[in-house]
Amino acid sequence: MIHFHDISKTFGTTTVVQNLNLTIDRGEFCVLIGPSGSGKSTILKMINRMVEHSTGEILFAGEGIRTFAPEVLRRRIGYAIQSVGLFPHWTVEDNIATVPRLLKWDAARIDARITALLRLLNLDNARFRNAYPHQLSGGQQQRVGVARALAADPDVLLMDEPFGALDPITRDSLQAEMTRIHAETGKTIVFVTHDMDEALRLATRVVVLNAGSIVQAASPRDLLSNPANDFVRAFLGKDDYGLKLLSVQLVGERMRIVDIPCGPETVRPDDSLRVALSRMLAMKANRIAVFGADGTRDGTVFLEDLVP
Amino acid sequence: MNGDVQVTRRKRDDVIKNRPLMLLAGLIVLGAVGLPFLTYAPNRLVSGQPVPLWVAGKMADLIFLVPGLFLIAGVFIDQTPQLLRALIVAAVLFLSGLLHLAALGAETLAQAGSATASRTSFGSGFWVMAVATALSLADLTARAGLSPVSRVFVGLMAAVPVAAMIFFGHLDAMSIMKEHANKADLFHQAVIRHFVIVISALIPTLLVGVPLGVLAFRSTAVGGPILTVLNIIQTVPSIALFGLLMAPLSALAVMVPALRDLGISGIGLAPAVIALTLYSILPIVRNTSEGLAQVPATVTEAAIGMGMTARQVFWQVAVPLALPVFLAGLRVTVVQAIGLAAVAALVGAGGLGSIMFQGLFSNALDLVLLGALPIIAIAVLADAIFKLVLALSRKTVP
Repeated sequence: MIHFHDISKTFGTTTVVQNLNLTIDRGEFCVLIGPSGSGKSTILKMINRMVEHSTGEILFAGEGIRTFAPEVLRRRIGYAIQSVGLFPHWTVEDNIATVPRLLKWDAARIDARITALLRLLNLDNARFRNAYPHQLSGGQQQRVGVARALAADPDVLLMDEPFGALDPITRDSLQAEMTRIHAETGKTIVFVTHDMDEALRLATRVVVLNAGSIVQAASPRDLLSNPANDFVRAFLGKDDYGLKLLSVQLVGERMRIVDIPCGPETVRPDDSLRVALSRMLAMKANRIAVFGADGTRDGTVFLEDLVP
Repeated sequence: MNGDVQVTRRKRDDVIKNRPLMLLAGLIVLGAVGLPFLTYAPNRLVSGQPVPLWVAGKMADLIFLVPGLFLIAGVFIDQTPQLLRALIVAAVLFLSGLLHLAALGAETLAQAGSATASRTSFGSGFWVMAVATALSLADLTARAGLSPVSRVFVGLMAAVPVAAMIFFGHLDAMSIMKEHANKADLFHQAVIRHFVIVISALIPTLLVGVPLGVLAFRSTAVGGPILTVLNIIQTVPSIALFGLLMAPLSALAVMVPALRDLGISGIGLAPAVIALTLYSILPIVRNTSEGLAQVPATVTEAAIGMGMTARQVFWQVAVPLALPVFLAGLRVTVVQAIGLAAVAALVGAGGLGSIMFQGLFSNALDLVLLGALPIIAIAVLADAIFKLVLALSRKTVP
């Protein structure tokens, strides 16, 4: 879907991105992560030509991005940023309709699309449709921002630290939404963050960057089990490295099919082992019952099972 | 001992519920009792004799002062929203009541002397009471926390009776209206001329000022010098600027006869319009550029990132978000131009200023008022209209 071929970017005499080669496949949830100044935002913004690359070639859907007019390219790529940037003088409805109107969709189609998107982002149509941005909370604004980015059904969604300014609870629920939206729509998502937990939770592939180069690109699990070097290891964290390992493994993989009495707390097969451990500790128990989504008992996870 | 002082203080605080209103009510009482309500002269050559309030009309007519008593009583009553609204109505009624009493007094006095030659003018008592009541109205509307639309309504309530009294000839016995009747044609021409001067200056101001403002926003290298020059112009006294333009313009008219044929010369409309334009450009340039500058960078980034063209970003995002600040600048410009246009009479541009100066030079106070009051009325009206438009435009943009 997106292909970086020998991309470099220099601002004056400083090189921000150096000889980048990266292919992002259709349907991937690719998270770019790195410290400040690692070039992650620059790489994201080169895709929709908010920043022009200096050398090399970027392909979008098989074609060089410079064969498109910037506006045409951008209307095919959803864009959500940390500060959201909703238009304060337009209602939620008008904000979401921005790109469809630029593409001259007819009114009925835009209307149906707004209804569908508000539902997708769990925003009540009646309550939010005609509200102005200043009447919404930060989390609601970012939901509208994501809906606006998805409005014209773009092939690719670019997200530049979209949840960085939100409180932990709101961020957590929006991260859950993103995982669900990615699964439901199958969109290609390129996501920039500096929060490793967020990257591990959302990504199908994590691209770790430092000083404008890729240090490692791997699935969350591979990244955790085989960090390429000390930089990646440091970025994964020393003290809670083991917990991060648990966070990318699911209860369903380790549970035993046994039905014995357990404490009041339960987990589901698609919860992470980190959640299971946390609840066991909270109950002061060494095992926890697993229930499926339909409410039937699936099995049990034991404390010793967490260590393979 | 100390305790007693405290108790009496507390008591006084409890009695007086609205201190500004107490001061203004005091002025109203002073104006009513201690100062002449009207001045009367049998002809315009002799100076007027003071006429107190109670001689102005018949005893029964003093009923029009009752809203004033209520206003004074309002000082001592708890300032609830209902009371404030009632006091606003009282102030409005009292204003038109004062004017009505003055008109009645003028009619009575006119019957006593010669109907055409005699001159009845507003006395200092009238002015003190009218100004104090207007200030009370301002204080009360501010306290009542009225919405902009309600404020306009209050303004209309105050203005409509005055306009109606003027329009239906109720004030014709007042000397200012006699002056108006004597100079009716001149007056109407002056009003129209005043508007012509202001509008002729506003059009080039907008045509030049808005693009300069956009330019100043886009490039600080250009914007800095532009604003510096305009700021310097702003500090030149208006009479000096009018005068400074006379010499080059008359020289220009001599050198280029085509310009003279267009009516451009050292005196008249040309220097007035040019000077007014030079004054008016600063607030327009500054507020256009400031309006655009306060559009959040993140909003612009989002707009570009979603695929708006530069033109779409400008017209759909930047312009609507800059509009309230721009309108605030336009408001200053228009109100300032209406006032400054009065001075333009000194370079022969005409307008209401010419009537005002005629009065000043011939020591005819009523003539001064005939020129000045309409200028004030037009400026206040323009100001109110802009405030309303601003309030409505800010409704959606916080």
